[in-house]
Amino acid sequence: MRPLLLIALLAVRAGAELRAGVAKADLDPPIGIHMAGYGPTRTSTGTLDPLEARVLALSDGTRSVALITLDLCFTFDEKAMDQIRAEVHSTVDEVIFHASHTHSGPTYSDAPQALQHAVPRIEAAIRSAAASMIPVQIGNAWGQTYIGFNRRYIETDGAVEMFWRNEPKISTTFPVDPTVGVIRIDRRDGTPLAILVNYACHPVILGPDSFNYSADYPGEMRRVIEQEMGHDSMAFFLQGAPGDINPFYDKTPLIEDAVNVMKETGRKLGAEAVRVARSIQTKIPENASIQTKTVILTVSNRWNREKLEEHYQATSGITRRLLAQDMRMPVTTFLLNRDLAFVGFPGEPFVEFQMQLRTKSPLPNSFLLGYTNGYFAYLPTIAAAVRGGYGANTTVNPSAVGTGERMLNTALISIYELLGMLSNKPAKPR
Amino acid sequence: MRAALTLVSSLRARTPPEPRPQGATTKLKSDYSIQMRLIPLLLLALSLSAQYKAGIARIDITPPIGHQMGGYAARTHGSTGIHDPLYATVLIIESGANTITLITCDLRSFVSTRLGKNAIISSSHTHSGPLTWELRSPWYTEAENKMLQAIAAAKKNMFPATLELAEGEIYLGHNRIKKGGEMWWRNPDALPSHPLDPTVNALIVKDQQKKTRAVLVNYACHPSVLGPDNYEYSADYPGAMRRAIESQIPGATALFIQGGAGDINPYRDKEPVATQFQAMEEMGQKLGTYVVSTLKKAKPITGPLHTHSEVLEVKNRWQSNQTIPIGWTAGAFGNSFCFAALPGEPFVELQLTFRAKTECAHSMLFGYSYSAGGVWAGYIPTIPAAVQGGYGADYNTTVAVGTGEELIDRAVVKLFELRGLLKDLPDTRY
Repeated sequence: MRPLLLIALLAVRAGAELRAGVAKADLDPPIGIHMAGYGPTRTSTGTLDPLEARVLALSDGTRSVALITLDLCFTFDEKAMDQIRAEVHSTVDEVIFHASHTHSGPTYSDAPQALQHAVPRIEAAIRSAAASMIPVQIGNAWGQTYIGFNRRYIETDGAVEMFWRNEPKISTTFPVDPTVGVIRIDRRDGTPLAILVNYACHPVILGPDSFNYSADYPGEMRRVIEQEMGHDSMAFFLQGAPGDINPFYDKTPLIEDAVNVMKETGRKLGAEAVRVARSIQTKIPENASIQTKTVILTVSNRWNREKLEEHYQATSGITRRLLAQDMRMPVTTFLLNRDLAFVGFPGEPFVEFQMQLRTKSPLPNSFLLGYTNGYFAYLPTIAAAVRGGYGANTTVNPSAVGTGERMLNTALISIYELLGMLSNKPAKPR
Repeated sequence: MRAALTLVSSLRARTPPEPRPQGATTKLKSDYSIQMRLIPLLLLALSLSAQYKAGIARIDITPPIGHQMGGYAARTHGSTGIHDPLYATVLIIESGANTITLITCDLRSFVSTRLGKNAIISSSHTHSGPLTWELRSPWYTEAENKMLQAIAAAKKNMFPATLELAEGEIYLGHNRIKKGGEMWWRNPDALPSHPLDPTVNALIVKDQQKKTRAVLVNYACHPSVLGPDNYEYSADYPGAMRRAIESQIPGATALFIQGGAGDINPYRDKEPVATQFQAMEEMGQKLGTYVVSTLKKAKPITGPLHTHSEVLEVKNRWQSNQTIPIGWTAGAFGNSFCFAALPGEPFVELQLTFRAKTECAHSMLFGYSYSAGGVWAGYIPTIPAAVQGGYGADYNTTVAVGTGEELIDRAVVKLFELRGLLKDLPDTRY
C-alpha cells in the first residue's frame, strides 16, 4: 500500500496548481453623460452605488485568464477591449469582459473621455488581481430562486404580448430558469476568496426615471454575500441568458421606493447564493487547467435592407446596429480544470439557451454568460423569432434568425474540442 | 378566479416598454397579432383555391450486368444478374407557379445537375445497385438521360390532384452505433436501441375521381438487407415495399424516399445469402402493408407550395482549409407539410430535431437527396454522435462537426420564411 500512496502524492504534486486573485476598480464615470438601457437621451445626475469592474484572475501555472465583470449595460467596443488586452498581455494571457446589463450605467460609446478614464483603472485592477494570486481550492453547487419571469406573454392564439412588470408574481409563459449557479473559491485555509453567482434576469428594477448610477440588484446581491461570507471575500455576478427574463419589479418608479425594492431583490438572490455557497466543500483541484477558445462567427443581417431604409427614412433614422452586415460575433469558451465551462455570447440570449447548454454540455457545470466580449443585441431562439415580441422580431434584432442556435452549437463543439473528445484525424474503423 | 383577474389586469396595465420614447402609445392589439389571427382564414381560403397538379412516371435504369456495384467495399467483382430491376420513379407536384420534381431512384446515391432547377434526386440508398457518380461509367450518362425522359413523360401527363398525408409508426430497424462508437450492424432479435425514429410518412396523390395515383413513403432505414455476397441488382426492401403497395392499391405508383438513416440499419442487416431475398421481401411487405393500413387516416394537405434551394459551404472536418459545398432544398405546403432535402446520410436524430422544430403538421427529412448543386456530402452525424464516434460519425465522414445541426436550423428558418411566419421587416411596436 505504501508505495502506491507515495505515487499518488507525487501525482498530485506533479499536477498543475490553481491560483486565484481578486481585485476591483471603481469605474468612476463622470456625472452628466448619457446612460445606457432606456433609449439614448437619459443623462446621469448622481451616483446611488459605485459602478465597478471586478477582476478574477486565475492561473494554472502556465496559462492565465482574467474574468472582468462590469456594472454596465454592455461591454466596451472591440477597440477598447483589445486596448486593455494588449496593455495587460504580459500579466494575463486572456481577458474576458462580461457586463451585468444594469440599465443604470453610463453609455461609454458616447463618452470616449470617460472611457479613457476607466481603462487604466481596469488595467490596474487586472494587474493587482494577477499579482495577488495565491493557491486556492474550488467547488460549486446549484440553488434556485425566483426573482423574475418570462416577459413574453404568449396568448392562446400564439400572439405575443409584452408583459414587462409582474408585481403579483403570477406564473406566466415559460420558459423561466430559477437556477442559481454558485462557484466558491477558497484560500487554502478554507476561507472564501471569491463567490461567483450566475443567474438570468434583467437588472432593470431601477427604471428610466432614475438618473443615478447603480449596479441595480446585482450590486446589492454582492454586498449581501460579502457581508455573510466575510473574510474579505469578493462576490461576482455573472449574468446568464436573460434576453426574455425581467425582474418581477421591473422599472419600479422612484416614488414607489424603487431603491429598496431593488435591494430586496438583490437580497433574495444573495440569500440563496449564500445558502448554496455555505454548502460547498471546496477542494484542491487534482490537475488545474485553464483552456480557452474563441470562435468568430460571421453573421448576416436579418432584414430586407432596401425595405428597411425606405421604411425608416419616413420616420426616424436607422441605427447602424440594425443595418449591420456580416457581423463578426465572438463565441467565447473557457474551461476551468476541465470541470467548469463558461460560455460567453456577445449579446442577449434568450433563457432557453442556458437551459439547453446545461442539458447538452458534456460538463454538468456549464454556465452561459450573455453580454460577453461584445454586444450585438438580442439572440432569440428560432421559435421565439417566429412568434415575436421584444427582442424576438423587433428593431433590436439585427442578426439572422438561428444565430443563437449557431452560437450554442459552436460552444458545444469548442467544449468537446477543449476536452480532447473531438480528434482532428479520422478514427480507425471499428 | 381572483388570480385570473389579476393576470388580466396586470396584462392590461403594463408599464411602457423599455426602449420606447416617452409619450408613445401602446396599441392593445397589434397589427401583427391581427395578422396572426387572419392566418387560419387565409389558409382556408387558399386551401379552397389550391389547385395542385401531379405527374407520375417510372423508368427502368438497371445498369448492364457486370457493372461495378456500390455499397460494400468487400465485393470483389461486378454484378452477375438482376433480382429486381432498378427504377427511377418521378413525381412532379405543381402548385401555382411552384413545382417540385422528385426523382426517386433505386441507387446508393446519385448526383446530377442536368435534371432541371426544381429537381430533387433522391436515392433509396440500396446497397445492391451500381456505383454512380464515383465511377461515371457510360451507364451513368444513360441513367441521366432516362431520368430526363421520365421527367418529360411525367410532365406530359399532369393531372389535377389533391394531396393527403398519413403518418404511422413501425419498427423495422435499429440504431447501429452502440455507446462508445462500437458498431452493431445486425439485430435479428429486434432489441431496443436509441435514438430511433419509427415514424413512417405517406404522401398520397389522388386524382379528381379520388383515385389514388401515387403513394410516396418516407422512412429511415438502410436498405442493406442484401449483403456484400449478393451480386444481383435489387432495390432491396424499398422495392418490395412498392410491390406490396402497388398490388394492394391497383393503379397507384409507390415511391420511396429515404429519411435520416445515417445510423439506422434493418434488423436483418446483411442477411445470409440463403434467406436474403426472403428477408428483404418480408421487410418490404411489412412496411408496405402497414403503410396501406395508415392511408385511411390520412389528412388533406392544404396551402400553396413554396420552396427554397441554396448551397452551404461547410468546412472539411479533417482539412479545415478545404470546404464542401452542400446543396439543399426546403419546401412547405402551407403549415400542413414541410420537407427538407439533404445530399448525404443524416443521422436519425437530425430527422427528429427537424420534425420537432418545423411547427408543421407533418415533416419529412429527405436524406440521400441531391438538389441545387454542390457535392455528395456523405455521412452527416450530430455533434454528440461525432464525439461518441462510430461508422459515419468519426470516420467515413468529412463534413465539419455541427454541419447537420446547421443545415437543419437553416432549413427550419427558411420554412418559417416560406410560410410568411418570419417577416423581412422588424415589428416596430416596441
